[in-house]
Amino acid sequence: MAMVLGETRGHLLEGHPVHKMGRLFEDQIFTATDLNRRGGAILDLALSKPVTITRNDQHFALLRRELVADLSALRDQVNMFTEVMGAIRSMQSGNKLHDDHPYRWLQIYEADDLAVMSDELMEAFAEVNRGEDLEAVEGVIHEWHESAIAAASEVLDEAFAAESNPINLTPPPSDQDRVDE
Amino acid sequence: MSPFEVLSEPKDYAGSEDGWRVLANNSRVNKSWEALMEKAPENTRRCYMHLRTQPMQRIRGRVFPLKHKKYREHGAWEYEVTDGDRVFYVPKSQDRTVLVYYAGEHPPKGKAPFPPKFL
Repeated sequence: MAMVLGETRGHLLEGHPVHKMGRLFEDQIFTATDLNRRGGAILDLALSKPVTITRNDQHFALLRRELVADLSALRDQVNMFTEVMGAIRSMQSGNKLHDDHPYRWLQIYEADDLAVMSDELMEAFAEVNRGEDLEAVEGVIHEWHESAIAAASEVLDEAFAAESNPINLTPPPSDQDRVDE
Repeated sequence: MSPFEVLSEPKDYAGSEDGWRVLANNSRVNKSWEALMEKAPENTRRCYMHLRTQPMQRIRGRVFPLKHKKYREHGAWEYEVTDGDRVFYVPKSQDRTVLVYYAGEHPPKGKAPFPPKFL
């Protein structure tokens, strides 16, 4: 995220150590006629920062696809992050999530688990923001959700409690020779 | 997570002497694994290679240690073989063995409610 957005522009606020993007569009405005006549030059400008194309009273954005993809991914991750953190905070305040709450599965976890999950989510959000992994928040939620399902599963209860008589796991056909050695 | 992607292939362990030994907890688990190999041969091959070479290598959202105390304390891991199939295992680093406790369809959700809409 930071990579593509950072190429666009940004500035530090005094007394506030956050790189603020500010308004995405500046005063780079062209008419549809300009676009027809000087398409190459306008595209060159759009490569470095978004420009606005106007037609009568309509306004269009011309910007790199990667930037749109990053913005869309960031929006998804921010939504997920705020939703799940809201649910965690609500539980930590002693509230119970209602029956059709999408994060009701969190209730299988105890307070100390939720604190760990919060930490992981914060770290994942930082990764998203740095552009290292645009699905990091979703990945963390997915792992905790899968773990909740596992913890509640009677099938897994039985599997882990079953009598243990270990044998070699049958290797895939192409690997038989290696394991039989 | 969607779309479901096949994991990249782990490094080849051919001839490796430091591979992990992969065991099924019992013959029933092994039968389930064999059925899974029939169903998804390439995915299970990659899963097997992962267990042989780097069972404690986390791949976010696909291969990870279970979070809930119930299994975390046992050191249990989950490997997502396909969108609907899972392997649950416990790696033991002291003797470099991997014990597979479950291989097959995603366990029924039981008391864990439905997932969020975006998953």
